[in-house]
Amino acid sequence: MSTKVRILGLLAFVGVISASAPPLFPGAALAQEKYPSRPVDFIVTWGTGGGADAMARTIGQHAQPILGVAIPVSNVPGASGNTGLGQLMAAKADGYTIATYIMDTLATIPMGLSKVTVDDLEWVTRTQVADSFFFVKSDSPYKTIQELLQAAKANPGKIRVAATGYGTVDDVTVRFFEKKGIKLTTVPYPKPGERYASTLGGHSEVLYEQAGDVLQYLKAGQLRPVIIFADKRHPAFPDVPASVELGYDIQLPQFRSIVAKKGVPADRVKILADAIRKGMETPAYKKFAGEWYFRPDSHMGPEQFGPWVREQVGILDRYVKEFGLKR
Amino acid sequence: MWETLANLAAGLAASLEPLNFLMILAGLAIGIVAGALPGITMLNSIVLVLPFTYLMGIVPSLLLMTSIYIGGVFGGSITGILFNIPGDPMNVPTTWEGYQLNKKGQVRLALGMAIMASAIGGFLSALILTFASPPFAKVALTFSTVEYFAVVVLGLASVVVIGQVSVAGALMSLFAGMFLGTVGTEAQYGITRFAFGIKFLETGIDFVTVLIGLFAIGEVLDQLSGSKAGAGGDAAAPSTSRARLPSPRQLWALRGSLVRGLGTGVVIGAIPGAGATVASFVSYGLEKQVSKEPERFGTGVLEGLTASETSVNASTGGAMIPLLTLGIPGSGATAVMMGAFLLHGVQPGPLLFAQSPHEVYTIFVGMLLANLVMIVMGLLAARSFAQLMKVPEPILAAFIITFCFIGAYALRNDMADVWLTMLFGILGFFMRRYNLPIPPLILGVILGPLAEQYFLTSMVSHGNDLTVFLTRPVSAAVLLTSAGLLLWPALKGWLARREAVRV
Repeated sequence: MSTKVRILGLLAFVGVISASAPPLFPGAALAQEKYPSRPVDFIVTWGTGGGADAMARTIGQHAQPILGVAIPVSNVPGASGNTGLGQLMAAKADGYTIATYIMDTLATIPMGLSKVTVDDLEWVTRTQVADSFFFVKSDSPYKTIQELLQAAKANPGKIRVAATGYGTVDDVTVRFFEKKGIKLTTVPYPKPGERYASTLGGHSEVLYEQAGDVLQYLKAGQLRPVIIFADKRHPAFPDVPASVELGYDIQLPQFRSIVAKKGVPADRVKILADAIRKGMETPAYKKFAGEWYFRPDSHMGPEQFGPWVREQVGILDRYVKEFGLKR
Repeated sequence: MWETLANLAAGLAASLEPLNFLMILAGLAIGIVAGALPGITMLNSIVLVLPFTYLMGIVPSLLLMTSIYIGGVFGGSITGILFNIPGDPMNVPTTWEGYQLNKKGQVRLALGMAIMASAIGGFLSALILTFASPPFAKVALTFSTVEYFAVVVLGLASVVVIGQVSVAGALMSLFAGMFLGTVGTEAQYGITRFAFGIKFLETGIDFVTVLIGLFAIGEVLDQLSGSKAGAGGDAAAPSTSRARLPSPRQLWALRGSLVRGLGTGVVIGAIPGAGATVASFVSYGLEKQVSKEPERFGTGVLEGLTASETSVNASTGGAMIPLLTLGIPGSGATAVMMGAFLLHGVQPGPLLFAQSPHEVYTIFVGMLLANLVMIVMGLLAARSFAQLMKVPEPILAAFIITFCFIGAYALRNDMADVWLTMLFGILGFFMRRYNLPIPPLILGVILGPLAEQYFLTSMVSHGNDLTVFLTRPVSAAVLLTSAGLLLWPALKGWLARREAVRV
């Protein structure tokens, strides 16, 4: 093989790499073109391997044939999802760029950490709602939530809760208990793996998480749930008491969703939302959703989703003000 | 035992199926090329193939990704040895000895040894993964952020002592790197530091811009401006650049380095956060400390190259242990693999071995095979890349810079990263001219934020009690080793002076 051929080979590799990056020049917007007529870029606002990533790639995969164009996924993590949202806001409001949006990002709005407000986005579809739990190691001395809270009362701050970070919904939940005179310590682990390792290894007494994320450890009997933050018990965990039933009125379920920039024509939002809904109705997606313990009523179209999000921001805002979390 | 062997036999049959074996070959090729190119890291290429795995089963997907991983951590040493431009940070220590060997006209041996050391390290670590995962995972779980912090400190300490120039210069470079690592939004409290209201700085400086700026662009500028007699193009005559594998006798002579590299690689690879980069720096530092002639390091010593390259590939098996047995990815590459598992509806973790033994053992055998096939692929790749040495220097330089800019732009599709890369290129040029060591800076950028985060988390977790770093035995041992590494040169100098006075 001559040197020239080898260099050409290298050039071909560059071509492949650069072609797989998002197009540099999204074609001039055509008002009357058929939508969608080219790939829809899907920005995942969190890293690879996480829950938002799994949601985006799974839905993208199932919605692709319905929409009729490719939905290439790119991960733009950082600042609780706000870095990726920045990219969404920099793109045109033509429906060819969509992004993931989850509860953790919403929590940054009342904290004053997000530049993207509720009114800057089209709330296309809520795809997942999953309840959060407190989990303990299976050989933990705390058999019930009452024992755990008793121990926390006796030794303020000694019970460590592995959480995603400060100012997150995890942290808000911990602060809620503090207001009730039960002081727990939030230990932030932004990477899920480190969060689980710290609990399994006994370096944190409690893990705040959704059940689907730690399914393996539940099935293997390494972790057990002690409380679900919801108004009623979960059918899959009938013995786990709900927070509201115990008199702790706090429930901040994790939600994941798909958004677009404000100003995308309503008919395009509808086409997107319909494709996502149909993708969510495929048996493969339903199996995925069941395994992750998403609420059966997770799906919410554009009409209800926007108002629901505004209501959630209101709830979070109240907590943030009450606990003095705003920076 | 019999069950394991039966599983392995089934795994062998499965991994030799045409599609699966093709994935191993493709993965190695992609990994080696991406690892070798300065602008494209091994991690980029794993993320890029993820969409292609949607339509495959879980087994070919994972074989493709692990093969990219295995090829990718090795690939950077090819360009490191040939052009003094390591493709990935973990190949930096290999470059120190490898490029010197190249300049001495022993490029064939350097490449061959790097290939062999990688293959041996990777193969043995895959064997450990196959037979000893559960006990390893159990030990890994007893480590908390206190131990993670200690290991990161060990990595930082080792880069200071392995430098060829003064300790003061190394420390300056290291602290400059750690400072750059603080730019952006801090992970614990979300506070923005040193961004001066500039938007792209708020997300931090990506270490890839620093890596390709300092190593690739800096090196190209330095070579083009012609300070060094032996610029990349004429370091060795192209006719001798075909890699030559070391003989069994040569390997046997280096058995100590191989074993130390393997041990360091597997253990550090299994600890979340640290990974291949720390493993390679620590094993190189260790090798220099145990050597009878440490002063020869940096002049083309096979022991240094062997140990670091063995540990880099040994870390792949190590990193797979917590992923497969606990469902906990410890590195960027294993995090993407975790994503691939989840996409296929399989959760890696404690039940994986019981529920999907077929898949797991096929991955094990696939990794063993990939490390063997890598010897052939490595030789081919080294040959192809060596052809580039025939290319006139200015043309080659133009290509390298193009790659660097593509790589920098692809990070976030932001021109700001390209400007940053250029700035770091200029910095790299001047650091070379003023003899300031570059590796401590890049390690500072990568490990500084990790050290900070693990330190803060440990403090939150242990009620701000600083003594926890010394009361936990593993952390105490690792930190004392780091202190020993740092103080040893000074102590040696003092002892030598006392000796001189006595005489």
